[in-house]
Amino acid sequence: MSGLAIHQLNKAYGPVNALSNISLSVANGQFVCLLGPSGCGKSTLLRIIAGLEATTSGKVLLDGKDITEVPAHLRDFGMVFQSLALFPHLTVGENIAYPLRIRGASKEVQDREVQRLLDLVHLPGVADRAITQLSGGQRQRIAIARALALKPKLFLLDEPMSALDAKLREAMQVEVKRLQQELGITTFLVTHDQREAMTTADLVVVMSGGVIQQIAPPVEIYRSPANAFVADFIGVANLIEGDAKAGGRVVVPGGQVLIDGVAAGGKVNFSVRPEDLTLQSAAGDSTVAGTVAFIRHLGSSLEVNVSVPGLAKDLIVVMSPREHLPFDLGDTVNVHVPGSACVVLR
Amino acid sequence: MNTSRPQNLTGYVPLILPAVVLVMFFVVPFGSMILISFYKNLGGGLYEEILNLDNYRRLISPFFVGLLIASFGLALAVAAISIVIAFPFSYLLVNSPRSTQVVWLIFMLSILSLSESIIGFAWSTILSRTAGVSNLLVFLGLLDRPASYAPGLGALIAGVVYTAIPYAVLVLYPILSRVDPHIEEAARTLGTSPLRTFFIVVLPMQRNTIVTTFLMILVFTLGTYLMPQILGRPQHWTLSVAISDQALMQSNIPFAAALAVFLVIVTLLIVGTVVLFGRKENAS
Amino acid sequence: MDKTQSGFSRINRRQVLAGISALGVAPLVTGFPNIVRAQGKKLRIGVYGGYFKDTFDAEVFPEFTATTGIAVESVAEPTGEAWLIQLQQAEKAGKSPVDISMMAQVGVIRGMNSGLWAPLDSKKMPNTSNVKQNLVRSNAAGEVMAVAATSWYITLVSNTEVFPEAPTSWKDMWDPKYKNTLGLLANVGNSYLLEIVAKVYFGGLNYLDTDEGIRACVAKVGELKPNVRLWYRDEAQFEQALKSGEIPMGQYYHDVTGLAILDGFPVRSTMPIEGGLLDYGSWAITKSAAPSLDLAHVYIDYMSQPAIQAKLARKLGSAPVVDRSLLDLTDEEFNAVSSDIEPITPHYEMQAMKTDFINQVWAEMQQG
Repeated sequence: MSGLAIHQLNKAYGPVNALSNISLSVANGQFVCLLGPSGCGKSTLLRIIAGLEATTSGKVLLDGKDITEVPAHLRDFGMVFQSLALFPHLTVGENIAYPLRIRGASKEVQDREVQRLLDLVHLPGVADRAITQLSGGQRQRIAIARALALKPKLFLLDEPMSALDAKLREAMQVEVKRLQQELGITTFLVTHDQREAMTTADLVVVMSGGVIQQIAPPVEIYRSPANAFVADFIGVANLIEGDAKAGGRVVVPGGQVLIDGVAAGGKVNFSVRPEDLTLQSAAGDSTVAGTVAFIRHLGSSLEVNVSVPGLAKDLIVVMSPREHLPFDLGDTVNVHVPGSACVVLR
Repeated sequence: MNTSRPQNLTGYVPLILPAVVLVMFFVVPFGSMILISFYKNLGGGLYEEILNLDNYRRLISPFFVGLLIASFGLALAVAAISIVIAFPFSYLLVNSPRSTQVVWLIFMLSILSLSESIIGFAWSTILSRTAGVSNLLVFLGLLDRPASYAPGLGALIAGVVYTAIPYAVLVLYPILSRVDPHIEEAARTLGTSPLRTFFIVVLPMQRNTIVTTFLMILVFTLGTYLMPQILGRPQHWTLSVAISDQALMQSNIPFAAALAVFLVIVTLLIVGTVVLFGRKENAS
Repeated sequence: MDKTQSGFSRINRRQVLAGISALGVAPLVTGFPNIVRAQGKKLRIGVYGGYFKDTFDAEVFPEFTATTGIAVESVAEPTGEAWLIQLQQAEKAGKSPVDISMMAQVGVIRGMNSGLWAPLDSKKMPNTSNVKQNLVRSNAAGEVMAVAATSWYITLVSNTEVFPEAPTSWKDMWDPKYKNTLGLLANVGNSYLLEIVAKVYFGGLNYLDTDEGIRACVAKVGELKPNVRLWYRDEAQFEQALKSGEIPMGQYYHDVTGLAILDGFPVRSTMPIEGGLLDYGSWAITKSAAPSLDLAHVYIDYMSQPAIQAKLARKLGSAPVVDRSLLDLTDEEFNAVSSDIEPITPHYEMQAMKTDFINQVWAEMQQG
């Protein structure tokens, strides 16, 4: 099969398991984000794909060929590091031309390619500058250009944008995504920033504790988190526990929620996004009663925290800022929880 | 860091102590050495305060110029060998586990705490016919009978290199340990094997560091005068040995001062040339 | 003159000393007629630091104080010319760090020429008539400037295991069969090889009176180079190599070699048929110490007694500066430290007056 596949991969450092039973299959041309909190093993997985770390067990296959034992310098993957790792003693042009030079490309070819790649990253004419003369964002582009110089089969990015400020980071995310679409290159991006993942990825791999939690397109990850960890890690989620009764009625602290298809008997956990909730004065057949604990206007949205006795955390409700809010702090309100928006977690 | 100049005179107050110390312990002794180098020797440590060029006329002779050349030859060889050993060593050290690093650094520091004469005697024993390594080689069947390697040029270089390497490592280690480890990984993902990475990335990247360390060992070796006496033959006695002889044995302080000034000037010229050359290279 | 710099020999000699002390030695001096009883007076005496000072502190000074009532404060002198320089600096300031110093001959001559020393009165030191008169140094006006304190030999030494047959003559050092086996003192001013060559090959020390003669002698020493393994500056380095047989032959101090023999090392010291090289140290007093001159006279007189010289021979291993006939040393004791063969003596005037020249010619020969 074509693409990158990982089979039952394990990685241990002494007694510590960094990665457990990782299996993953990615078709060519996809943009994959490895997403998770720090220490979840996402960088280790990327470094194993790059060949910079050995596996403890399991296989890495590229287009059906086992590359587990192929050393990094023979894999011909392009990688961008968090520190960028540009060669400080070389100029911009020499950095970009490095992989071509060591393979014996002629000076003309090198110059032409440097030109092409600098155009590609929208930084023409800086080939003769020293690395230290560039800004952080510019260095980022140079690191990307260098990684792409070989027209690699895989493009690997290890949190390269985490050091940039928020605005520049967003711009770079868009640019990286465009570049990837333009080149149609299979890309792996490691990040702990879910916005970055949502912006760029065709496929998000959510990881935690060295284990894959969910593999799905971004919208599906958001709308249908596989478990409480994913729901909580991606965006803001209200996690509620209740008792399932007949007819899809779930009794929760402060009221009840109607969720189709929930079998009666036992506890049920579900998550619901803040933007799916609405506030109303009267109780309904799928509402939870509480008091307004906190209100904040975020410009693009209005966020209300509703404290519900019996729930560990406030319910968070997000609405349009243009909506009139007929409640004040301390008022008793009913939060409408539409059953169709609830995702039942296992 | 604040690099602006002090706004008023009181801003310079913190500089007074270091300035005074620098003048008292460096400028004054060095200045008086230059002055004495122009005095006339009376023997027995006495000199007449008559300025003349006789000392310098005497040292511009084939003998002392030959000594100078020999001294620099030795220093260059020692500096080159020390770098060839110390750089890969420091590189491997930086990339080894923390506990290994600590053990080696403590070992290096303990070598520094040894006196030069003890190291010299140890090497002369190690390289002797009666108790030295050649006996081991005989035992292993690599040699027919024990041989003596000291005193001699090889023994001298071994001894000085041994004392110079800890300095080189202690200069190189902190610099190498600050280098981003991802740079080598980047080189590997770009198609360079680990060994090749060392030669075409790590070494060129540290060119300035290597030159600086080289110069430091060069100057360090130029000043050594005990090792050549213990491990070298007379033709290996350096200009520094001649200076100590003039000062301590012949009590000819003015001539010793003139030799020292001569050595300092030539050293400064060489260091200056290298630094200038390096700067031009960087600029181009 | 690095007589006292040898760390190893110092230890060895101390061990021997302890052994001898254990036997108990009866006081040698019972009466001392012509001294002024000088209770409460103190004399500051400079002697070479290390073994010399230790031996003097243990064996000489307490008895001197008991006999004369003069307290002694011994001061460790550095070897080489550093001490002369210190004395000269102090003299300019009109102060002296000591009242009386043990000086090497080049230092005595330099000090004499610069008017450093106070003249001594032989009449106040009757015992100095015992001292060999060529070891009493006077200035041009005939005033006594310094009196010999103790002397030592440099001889031919060899390792008995490597060379079962002892060399007999200084000339043996030039024998091609000793290729790459010799350890020689590195400096012209402490090896005295020019004097040895002048005596052995050119008929006597006079040969060194001219620059041509000096050059000829240096050239003759130069012929030794194929045989020289080590030109040593540190005595310990050669002594160790001699004991192990690493460098099985050379020139070395007779007294220290004697101690190595007592310690069981396979070495020997041979008094060459042309005579050993005899060097000596002298007592001299700077002018600024003149207030202590009377006490110094008492001290030099005391030290010049044959009995004290015999004691130094037994304790310090030094060669007496008085004639053998005046000593109660047995043949064995005498031969252990000295010899009846006329010694070769250093050409001190040349060493002191032509320092730069002989060192330059020497260095060019040695390092060329």
